[in-house]
Amino acid sequence: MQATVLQAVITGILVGGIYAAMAVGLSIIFGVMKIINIAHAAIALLCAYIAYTAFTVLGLDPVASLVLSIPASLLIGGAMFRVLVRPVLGGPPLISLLVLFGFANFLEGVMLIGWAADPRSLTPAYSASSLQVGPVIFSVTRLLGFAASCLVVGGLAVFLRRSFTGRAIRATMQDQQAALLMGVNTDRVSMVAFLLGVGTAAVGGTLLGLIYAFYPALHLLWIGKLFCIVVLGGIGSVGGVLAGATVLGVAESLTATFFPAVWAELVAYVLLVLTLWFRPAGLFGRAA
Amino acid sequence: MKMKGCLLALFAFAFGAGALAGPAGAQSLGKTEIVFGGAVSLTGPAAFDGVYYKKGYELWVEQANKRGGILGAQVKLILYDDKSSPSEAVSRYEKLITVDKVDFLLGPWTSGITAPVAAVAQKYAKLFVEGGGCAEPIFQRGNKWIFNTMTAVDHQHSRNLFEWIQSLPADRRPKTATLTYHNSLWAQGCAKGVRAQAQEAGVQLLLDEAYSPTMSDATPLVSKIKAASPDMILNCGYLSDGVLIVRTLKELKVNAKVVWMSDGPPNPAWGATLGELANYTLGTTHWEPGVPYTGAKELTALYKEKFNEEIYDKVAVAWASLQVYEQAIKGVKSLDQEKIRDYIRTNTFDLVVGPTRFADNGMPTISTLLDVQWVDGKRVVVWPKKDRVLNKSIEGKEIVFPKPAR
Repeated sequence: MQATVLQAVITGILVGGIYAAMAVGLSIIFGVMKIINIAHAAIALLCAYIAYTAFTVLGLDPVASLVLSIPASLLIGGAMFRVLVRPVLGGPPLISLLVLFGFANFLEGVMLIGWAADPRSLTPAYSASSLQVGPVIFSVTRLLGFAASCLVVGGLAVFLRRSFTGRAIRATMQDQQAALLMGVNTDRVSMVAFLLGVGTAAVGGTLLGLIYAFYPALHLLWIGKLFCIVVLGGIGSVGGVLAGATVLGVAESLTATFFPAVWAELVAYVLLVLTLWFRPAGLFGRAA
Repeated sequence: MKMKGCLLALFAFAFGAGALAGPAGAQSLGKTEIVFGGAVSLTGPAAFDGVYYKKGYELWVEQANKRGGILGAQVKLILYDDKSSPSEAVSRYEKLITVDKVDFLLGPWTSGITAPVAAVAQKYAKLFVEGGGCAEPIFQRGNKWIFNTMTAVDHQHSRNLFEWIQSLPADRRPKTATLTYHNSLWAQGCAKGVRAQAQEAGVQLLLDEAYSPTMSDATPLVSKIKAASPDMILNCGYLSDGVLIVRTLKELKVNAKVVWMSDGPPNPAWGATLGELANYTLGTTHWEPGVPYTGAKELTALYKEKFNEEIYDKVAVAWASLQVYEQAIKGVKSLDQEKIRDYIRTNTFDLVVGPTRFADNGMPTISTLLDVQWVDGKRVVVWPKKDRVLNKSIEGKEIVFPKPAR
C-alpha cells in the first residue's frame, strides 16, 4: 500500500514537471499581455509531431529533436505575434481568445493533414525501460522529461530574475504603465515574452509526447490541464506554475491509482472549480 | 423493315443467352453497374484494423470485375474514411444513401461505429451486411436489415482461453486474473464474457476495470495490475490500447503466467509494433489462413500476391460480407433490397469464413474462434487443438505457459 502511494506520488511529480514546462509559457504570456494563448497546447503538440517525424525519418532522438522544434516554434510564434496577436493587443479579451482559438483549430487541421488522426508515440530504444530504486520504479522517459523540464523552467526563472530583459518582463507583468514610464520597451518585451512562452511550450510538448501517445485533437485536453495549472498556481509566477503542475500531476496519478482510471481525466476540472471557488487568486497569486 | 427488326432482336437474344451469360444477366438486373458503399476507419485509433477492411473490399471488387461482375453488371466501390468517429461514420452513410445512392452498404469497423450506422441502415430500409461489429446489443434492436459475417458474438471472445484453462490439470490452472477493458461497446461485451467464464472456471478476478478509449498513459492501470499480482492478465480491447498496455507492463516490470490481449494479437501489426515484447502474448481471432473453408486458401494466396503481406481475420470477414451480397443477388436475380434480405434469411452461404446461415437477429449460426500466440516473432494458432478442430487442417501448437518473465 505504502509502495503504491509512493509510486503514484513520484509518477505524478515527474509528469507534473513536464506539465510545468508547458504551462509556464502560458502564464508568462498572460502576465505580460493579458491574453490567453488558447493555441498554446496546439503549438506544443505540433512540436511533438515534429519530434515524431525527426525520429521516424531521420532517426533523431526526441530530446535532440528540440534543436529543430524550438526554432520551428519560434518562427511560428513570431509570425503569430506579428499577424494575430499584436493587432488585437489591448482590445477586448474575447477578440484575442477567438483569434487564437481559430489558430488552434488551424494548427489541428495542419496536424490532421500532415500526420493523420492516428495516435503516434515516440519510441526510442529506452522508451519501455525503467530503473528500480527499492519498491519504486522510475520510467526512463519520465525521468528524462522531468530533468529536461527542470532545466527549462529553472533557466527561465533565472532569466526572469537576473537578466535585464527578464526584469523588464516582470516589471511589465506587474504594471505595464509604470514599466513604460521607466523606459521599458513594452512592445519588445511582449514579443520576447511571447517567444519565450512558445519556445517553452515546444519543450513541454515534445517531452509529453515522449510519455504519452498523441493525436491531433489532444491539444484540447492539454489546454484544459494547462488552464488548471495556471489558475491553481496563480498567474504570472514561475513558482506558482511549478506548484500547480505538481499538484495536478500528483492528484491525477493518485486518482487513477485508487479510483477507476477513467476518473483521472476529471481531476483538472475539479481542481479548477475548487480553486476558483476557494482561492480565486491561486495558491501563490496576490488578490487583485 | 419491322420483320427485319424482330429478327435482329431475336438473333441478339439468342446470341446473348447462348454465348454470353453476362449481357443477358445485366438485362435481368436492369443495371450495368452495382455500387457498394461504406466508410471504414482509415485514420484515428481504429485505423490499425480499419485499413484491412478497405483492402478486403477493394480486392474483392477487383476480382469480381475480373470474373465479369455480378450477373454481368460491373461492381463499383465508394469508400470513405470515418476517422474512427461514430458521428463522422453516420454522416458518411447518410451521404452514401441519399447523395451517392449506392445499391448496397458495406460495414465499418468496430462495434461502437457499427451500432449507430446500423440504425441509419434501418431508417432507410437498406440492407447492411457487415463484418466489423459483433457486439450483441447491435443485434437486439429488432433491425431486420443487418447481417454479420464475424463468426462470434462479443461475449464469446474469451471462450477458447477458458476452455484451455479447464483442460489443464487442476494444480497447473491459473487461479487469479485481472480484467481490464476499453470502455466501448464490443470490449464491454467481451469483458462480460470474461466475467462469466472466469466464474465458471473458478478463476478469481482481482481487478475489473474499464479504461478510457482515449487513454494515452497506461501507467496507473498497469500499476493496479501490478498491485494485484495476478496469474493472468486479461484485456478486452483493440490494437493501439493493447500495445500501450504491453509496453507499460514491460516498463513497470509486471509479469504473469498468461497475457491475453483479445483483439490485438491477431493483427500482423501487433508483432511489427511491439517487436520482442509481442512474444508469448495471446489473442483471439475469427479466422486464420489455414481454415478449411471454400476459397480460404485462394484468398490467402491472392492477398499475399496483391499486397505482399500476411492476411488476417479482418480481411476475410470483409470479403465474406461481399460474398453474401453476390450469392444473394445471384439467387434472386434482382437488386431488390427486400427480396435479397429474405433470401439471406432463408439460405445457406458458402463463405470464406465457413458455410453460414443467419439467425433471425442477423448473427451467423456458425461460430469459429481461434486463439493465437506470438512465439519467436510469429503468430501461431494454439487453440483449439488438432484432434477436434476444423477437419484437422490447423494444428494447434502447445501454448507457451507459463509465459517467460522479462
